Amino acid sequence: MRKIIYIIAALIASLLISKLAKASDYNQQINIEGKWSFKIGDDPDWASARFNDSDWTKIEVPSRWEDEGFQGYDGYAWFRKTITIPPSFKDQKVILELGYIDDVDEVFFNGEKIGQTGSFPPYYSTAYNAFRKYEIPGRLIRIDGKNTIAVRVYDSGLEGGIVRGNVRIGAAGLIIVPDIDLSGKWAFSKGRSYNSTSAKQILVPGQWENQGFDGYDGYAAYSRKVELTKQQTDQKMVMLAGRIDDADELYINGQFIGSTGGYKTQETGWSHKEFRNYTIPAGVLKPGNNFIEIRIYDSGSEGGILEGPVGLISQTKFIQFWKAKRIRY
Amino acid sequence: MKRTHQLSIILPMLLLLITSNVKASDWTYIASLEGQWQFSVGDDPDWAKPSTDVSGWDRIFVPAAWERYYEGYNGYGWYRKDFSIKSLPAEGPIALFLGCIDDVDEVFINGVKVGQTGSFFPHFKSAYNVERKYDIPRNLLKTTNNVIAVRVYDEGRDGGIVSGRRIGICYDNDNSLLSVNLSGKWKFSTYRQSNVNNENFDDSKWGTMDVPGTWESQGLPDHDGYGWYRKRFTIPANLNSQKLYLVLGKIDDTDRVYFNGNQLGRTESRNYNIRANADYRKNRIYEIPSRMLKAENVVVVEVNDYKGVGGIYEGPVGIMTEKDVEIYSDRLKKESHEFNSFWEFIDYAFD
Repeated sequence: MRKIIYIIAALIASLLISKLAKASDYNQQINIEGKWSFKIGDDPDWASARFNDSDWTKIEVPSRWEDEGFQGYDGYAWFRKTITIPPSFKDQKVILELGYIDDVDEVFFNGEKIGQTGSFPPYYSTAYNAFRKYEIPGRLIRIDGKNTIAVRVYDSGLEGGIVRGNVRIGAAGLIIVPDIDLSGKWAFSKGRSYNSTSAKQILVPGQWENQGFDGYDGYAAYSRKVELTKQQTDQKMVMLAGRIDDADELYINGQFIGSTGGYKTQETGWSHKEFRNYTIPAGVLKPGNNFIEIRIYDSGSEGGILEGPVGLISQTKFIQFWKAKRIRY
Repeated sequence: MKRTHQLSIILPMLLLLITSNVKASDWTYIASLEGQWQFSVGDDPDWAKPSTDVSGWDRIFVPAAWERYYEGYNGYGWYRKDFSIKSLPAEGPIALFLGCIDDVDEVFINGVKVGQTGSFFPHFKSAYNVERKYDIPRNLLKTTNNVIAVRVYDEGRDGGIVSGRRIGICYDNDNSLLSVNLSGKWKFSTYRQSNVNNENFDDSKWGTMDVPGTWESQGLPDHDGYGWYRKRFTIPANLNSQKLYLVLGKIDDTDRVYFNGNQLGRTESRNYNIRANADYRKNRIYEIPSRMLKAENVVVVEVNDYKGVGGIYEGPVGIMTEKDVEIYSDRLKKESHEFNSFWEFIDYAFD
């Protein structure tokens, strides 16, 4: 009997170790804890990379703002920090971790929104116990230059701010860089196919639960327009549709291109772990405007295009990437 | 005590079996294709053409999931390999074996499409658990400078030519022993009907099934349970005076055979576990009593498949004379035994 307890203990220990090892799955990282610029209040201009925050209060991150001289403050406040990203981060998946934020946050990188967790008033919903992890699209990163992170926070009561956990930027390995990056704003509607009359704006990548569709499971559609030149449409292209939770169907200019997981059958289980690469048949993409629609079925919990890269790449570059990434024995 | 005794015999034998080698039985290689292939992600119809230069492609080992080289890759991938033929037999079928391909494939030899399993977009259908076997027209093959190209689409998880005990082009050594070759199209139905065993039963409305071949590879992807095969054939006059045998290759899982309305034999172990896990490995040889023989004959095979693939899945299928059946049986005995399951081993050890 004692032997069994030892074995179980060893198993638990090894599980914990593997879990810890996973938590630092970056080949390099930048610690961005320490002094950040801070101001209570709310102003959309504060998201801008060009905004001058030199007169703002310096505050320790992570910490509760109640401990940094803002005792009893509830409501909106902004955090800003300027950082340099070294050349070694180029063409890698770059992740921004902000630990735990109490209660709701919205994050801007060089002025562009990259994600949100929880929901601001008037549809307030806290996310104080969610670990913040945002993918920074490569197109927004200025390698070797100044990059600005701006975090808008809303606290409904008790402790507030970027309160605890690792606050850092990590490089998570080589990533395929699309010729046409389609991360950012897409139109989104619930239902089996895209419906422009009920559409709302949504960020890709990112789960829809954090973007006004908390608790929604089932069918939804993402849509966006992409303008292409003749030079681009003359090549064979691959649509990188990222990692989707759970199943999807891709349509370009109304034509069905491909599907992953049980979109129609609603049989899911593995497809939310897989990255989508759809080769686009010749003649589908046209010079000028093209319409991309990604229909998604989510069986439960988080849903949407969760992880990038999302975009179009020529098959030639696509092949080069996988050749370079090949594991050699 | 008795239990201990049995285990002391079984365990060392099981250990021995792990090291026993795998040998193809009736199918003999004329070109083994296991090993290094050229590979590229992406999709381009030109890659099927032998003239397309693929010298810049990566080299990967077949069979293996392509994730071994390209972590997390999903989508299209193409395999190419040049090969020569050792010696082309004068007659008999030639088949290409590619093991299991995840999910869909399309195969070209010297630029000519020889087969496809599963379905590509827009009507995607995975066939990841189907062992690929394609009949190859012999006039397609040259002695040297043959090019095989395999186009694969993988939806997710493992992808590519992932596994297989036999990867290559083979001819059926045993087929030369058949006096009447019964491989090809048989009448087939999955509905139980009365009088189905009767020689005069009307099967004109039935569909057909290729023999040998699994149901799963022929449009019945998930069929378990019963299937009835019927075949009408004539026996040449010169064989009438001889003792003849009906050979049905291998059947997954059990079968009952009727010859001109009479039960000829069956392979159906009494123990359920053996029936479901070992019977599919047995070679079917049934002696035909001379009183049953006619100039025109009808064979009915009732097959029961318990799980996975089913049907008369491996040849030879046909009529053999006593002399040839002896050669065939000797050949089978020489095969080294190899067991997929505990029950196969038990069946073998206590048979």
